[in-house]
Amino acid sequence: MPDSLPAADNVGTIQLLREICSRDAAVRVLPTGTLTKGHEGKALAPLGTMKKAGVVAVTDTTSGVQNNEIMRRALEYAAMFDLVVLDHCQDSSMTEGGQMHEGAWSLRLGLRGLPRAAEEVVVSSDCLLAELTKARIHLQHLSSGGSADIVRRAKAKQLAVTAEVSALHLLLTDAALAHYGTSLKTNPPLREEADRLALIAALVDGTIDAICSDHSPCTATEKDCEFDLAPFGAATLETAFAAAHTALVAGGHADLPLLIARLTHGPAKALGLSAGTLKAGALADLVLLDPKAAWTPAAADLLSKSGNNPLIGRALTGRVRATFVGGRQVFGT
Amino acid sequence: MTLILDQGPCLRTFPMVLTSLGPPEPHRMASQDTWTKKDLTGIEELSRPEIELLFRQADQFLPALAPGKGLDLMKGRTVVNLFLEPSTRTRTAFEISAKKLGAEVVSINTTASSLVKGETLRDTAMNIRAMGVDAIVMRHSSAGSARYLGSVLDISVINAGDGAHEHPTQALLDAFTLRQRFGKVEGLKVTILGDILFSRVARSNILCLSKLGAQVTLAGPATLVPASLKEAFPQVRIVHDLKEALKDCDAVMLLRIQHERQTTTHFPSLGEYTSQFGLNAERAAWLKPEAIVMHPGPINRGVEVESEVADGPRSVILEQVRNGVAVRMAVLHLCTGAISR
Repeated sequence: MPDSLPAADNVGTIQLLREICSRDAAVRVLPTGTLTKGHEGKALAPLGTMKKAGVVAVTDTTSGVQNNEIMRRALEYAAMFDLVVLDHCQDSSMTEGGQMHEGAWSLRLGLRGLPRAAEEVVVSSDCLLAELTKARIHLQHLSSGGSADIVRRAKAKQLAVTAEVSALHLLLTDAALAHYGTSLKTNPPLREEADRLALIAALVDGTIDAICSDHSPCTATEKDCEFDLAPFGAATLETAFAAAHTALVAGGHADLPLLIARLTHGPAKALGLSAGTLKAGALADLVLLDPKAAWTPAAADLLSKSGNNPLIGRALTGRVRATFVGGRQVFGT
Repeated sequence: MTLILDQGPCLRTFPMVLTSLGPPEPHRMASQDTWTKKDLTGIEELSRPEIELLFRQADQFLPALAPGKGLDLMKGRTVVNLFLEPSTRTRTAFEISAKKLGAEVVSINTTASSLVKGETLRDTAMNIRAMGVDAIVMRHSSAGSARYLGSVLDISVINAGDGAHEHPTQALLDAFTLRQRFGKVEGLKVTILGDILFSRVARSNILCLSKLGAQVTLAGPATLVPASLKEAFPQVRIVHDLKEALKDCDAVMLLRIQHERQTTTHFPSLGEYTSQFGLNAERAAWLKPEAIVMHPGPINRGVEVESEVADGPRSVILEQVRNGVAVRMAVLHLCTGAISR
């Protein structure tokens, strides 16, 4: 995601990022650029030159674009380069001071809420703008069952809209925040059981194309504080398969091939990449899975330097045993 | 009697037996008389027998409220008031409560605190603990901060208000005042009127009164008393009509309209609030003759309540303040007593 400091809103930063990744990264890192300069939502970033520099998509990440006129022009302009726009759907005027899903738990805990409607309003406007501009838009980490309904209707109209859900949102609800655990403070927030089930149904019927990790690392110190002072985010990359497998397959909602499709060619198709498939001549980017492995992640099991994986201590089934990139093993024994 | 224990780590705790300062009470056999919690972080964590034990302890302390009286049950102990949000009444009540028990008291307020220099709450609290303190009474703008501190420290943590979450000693003193007035809380009808959405007093009172068997009605404008409160607290009744809210209740608790917590979208103006929900003599006449008027303070005279009601015969506001000292003495005594030395 391009909300680094400085923001990835120019060719220089993108080139630097690609240089570091080609030197140090064990896996393929595909950069995105911001949609507007400094992801401030005011003026368009140089999308054409950033595309040439190698961005696979553009997004203003958690800031979102709060102005519909700018979003409309951005979509039209990005479409010229066949760049997909990723949107974190949230109307910031409805979420000021929000800490968790607005519902019975936020009322009990005395925390300000992020209402479903703040997401659904933007999912709706994005779908309307996709219809107007015929541009491609990908809706990031949907959290509300209502959002899935809106996307289902948009897809029925053949709009170029795709969507994703995070593995964590398939597994947990806001009830898990009953003890103010800061590792579960995420944006979008964990919502209610009805949302979780609606998101699973939308994933199974193809309304939602992809499962994402929504990996947002924070340091242990950053999260060791009062709930409303803690940053949003969970370091969930290493447990994304396990969480999604536990929720979908062990939960009896889907079979393993569907889960794998939503983790591989679902996201590849949303980004327009020729990846995420097994066939002769394709890149040997492979993951060796053990779907039967029952395990409870401990901090020592995880390689991430950040300490905010909320699934530490939770029983999961399914585990990644090895990872290969271009035929070379980069993880596992 | 089996206790429901706190979920947080209770380090080195042991049962604290009710301290009797007078002749033995005949009804004691059937009730709980031991306290095991080092912290009071919320009403949610308390059982009804624990609340009742605390009330019996507070009864014992009422005579010590007279001028010139005091006890030495906490002699040699130190209580730190860590107030990270402005407060006069609650901080003063805690200071007096600790002093009436013979404890030393140090008060830290926001401007004097090192927290403004960027120190974390954990570090501030660990430093205070390292100085040999027995209890920290904390007010903080973050919901959940008292539970967090209680899990970090092995000394007593008393919640004096955490954001919009809980204000347990206020709810205890309110229920104690109702018990004093009506003999018991069970079966009473209590209306809480005003800003429920942002009120820690309301949350603690909903929990405390429900645990003690009272029926709670929440009333006020729909933006501050949303229907969704019913999902969070299924035991309550929600009413947006003032006459309906007042006509059957035994007590009405008025909540202060907190300008500093509301964004402008929650109601048009203070004048509009007063015209719809302010309690004046004419509206107080809708109450039953024996019904009382309560307020946790500080009062906005002319906003949520007119002086004729605040100072009238139904008002128990100053009794609440007085009882607050006895209840906080009981909390400090029981919680610090639950840690072995």
